[in-house]
Amino acid sequence: MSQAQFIVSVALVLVMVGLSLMIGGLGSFWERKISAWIQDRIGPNRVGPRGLLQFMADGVKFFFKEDIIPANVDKVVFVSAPLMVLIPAMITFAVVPLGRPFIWAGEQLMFQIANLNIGVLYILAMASVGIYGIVFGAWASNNKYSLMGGLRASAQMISYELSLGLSLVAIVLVAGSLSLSDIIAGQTGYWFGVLPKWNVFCQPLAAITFIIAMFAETNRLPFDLPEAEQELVGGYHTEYSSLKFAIFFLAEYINMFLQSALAVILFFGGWQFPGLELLPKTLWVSLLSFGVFFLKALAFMFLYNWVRWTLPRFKYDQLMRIGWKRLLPATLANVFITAVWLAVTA
Amino acid sequence: MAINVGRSKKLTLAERFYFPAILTGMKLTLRHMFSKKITLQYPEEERDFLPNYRGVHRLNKGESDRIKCVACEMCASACPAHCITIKATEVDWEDRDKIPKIFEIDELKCIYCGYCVEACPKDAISMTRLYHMVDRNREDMVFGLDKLLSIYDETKDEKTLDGEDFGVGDEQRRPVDLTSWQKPAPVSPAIGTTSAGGGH
Repeated sequence: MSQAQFIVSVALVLVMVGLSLMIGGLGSFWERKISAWIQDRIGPNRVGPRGLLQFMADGVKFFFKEDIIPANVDKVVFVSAPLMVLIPAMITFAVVPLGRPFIWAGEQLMFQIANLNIGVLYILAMASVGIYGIVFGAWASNNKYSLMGGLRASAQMISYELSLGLSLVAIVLVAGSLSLSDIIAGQTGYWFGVLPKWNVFCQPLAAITFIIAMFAETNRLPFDLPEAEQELVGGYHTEYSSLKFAIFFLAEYINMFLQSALAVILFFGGWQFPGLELLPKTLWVSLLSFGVFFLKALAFMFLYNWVRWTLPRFKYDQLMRIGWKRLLPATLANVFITAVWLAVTA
Repeated sequence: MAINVGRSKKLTLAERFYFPAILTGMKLTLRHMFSKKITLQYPEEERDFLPNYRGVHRLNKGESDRIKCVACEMCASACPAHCITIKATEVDWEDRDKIPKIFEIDELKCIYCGYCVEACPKDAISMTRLYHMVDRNREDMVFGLDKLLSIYDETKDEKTLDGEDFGVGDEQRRPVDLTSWQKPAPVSPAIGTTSAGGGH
């Protein structure tokens, strides 16, 4: 890696760490606002202008709350479990292409932290590691309700990761590479001059299954039984208070943002927008493409919230049935059809 | 008694995906997102209460600015919370022998039921639409005679809950018409005629 690329990568690391923390804060604020608007009410609007500093008030609240560690918990695991959820979520951003490559002093620099040629595999691996944190937190809590929540969460996430992965396999077949930048590069151009060559148009079934699986991966309604506020108190994060709870909370939002970013990259062209190919390959255009990518990911965050207040929660058996008996055959069929099509037309 | 809902329509394959239902639901939530919000921003906006709202009490004044109350203690007897304390004193006016020397309502004990207003024969006590009652100690929330009269001075022109709202004089409140709720008498096939009038 050249020196300039290293500098870009380090700068992007700092940006993404900061952005992740901001997503946790502003994400929770916008979630409350949009949830309120859907329910015909106004959300928080007292702290700061139009309520925008509400997340800072929440942060201060989390800092000053009493940090309770129950008596019979496994202390080491209990304290480290939230980090085991947060860290995989944050380091997955390393392979996410954030913007268009640009030319600086004669060389082409990638606007991403690391251009792994097995990007998709890395993402699936990190998503799996994130499940450990939830199970550890649930188990270490010494609380049967947390345990139930944690087990349900892990079973749910494992089941839907299969469908997630198989949707990705279809995309990888279409793109011919596991690297996320190549997948985006495969989505340049237009059909009939006007329709962008986004994967959502040529792989609609994979898009639908990915979006359904992404809701299940992040434990969001309609798949949020692990948190099931009305049934399990708090699920796996019942016993957590103050900062440890804040970290679980933050990790959930970062996961949501990550999955949204993935959906954008895999199906909606990533940082591309119509007209981008006319612009020169400078740093400013890369920043513009980053802005477009961010907006697209925010649209998916809005989708998360929108669906949350539309659908009722699935029962656990319904959830598992959908994961194994409906989604998995659909994604398998999609992979099969894609493979046959590519073999026939190649 | 079993009620047959009659769900004979089986879902089609497309319906079983639930996608159309989900999209309909999402359209509904989106519509709500852009509709008018019903939140009331207190304290900048306050609710406008109906005229019959039961708020803080006041003692009414009659002609020549004299208190209407005759210290008969009917309100104190009617009060379920026993929050009214009255001590009468003699007075030599043309229409009464007594007026209250001490008339205290403990607004914290009061349950705001309005029985005192209903019980008063002289329309001397009413309930206003004031509801902001904040103070720093319990003693100040026991409203005395002067406080209750000063509330009258403040709300003189407003419509308050008076005794008239419970019926005027001996006239009872108009009863609800129950005859419209009575089921018609069943037809008796043996006799061949309908029974007359409302049975029971």
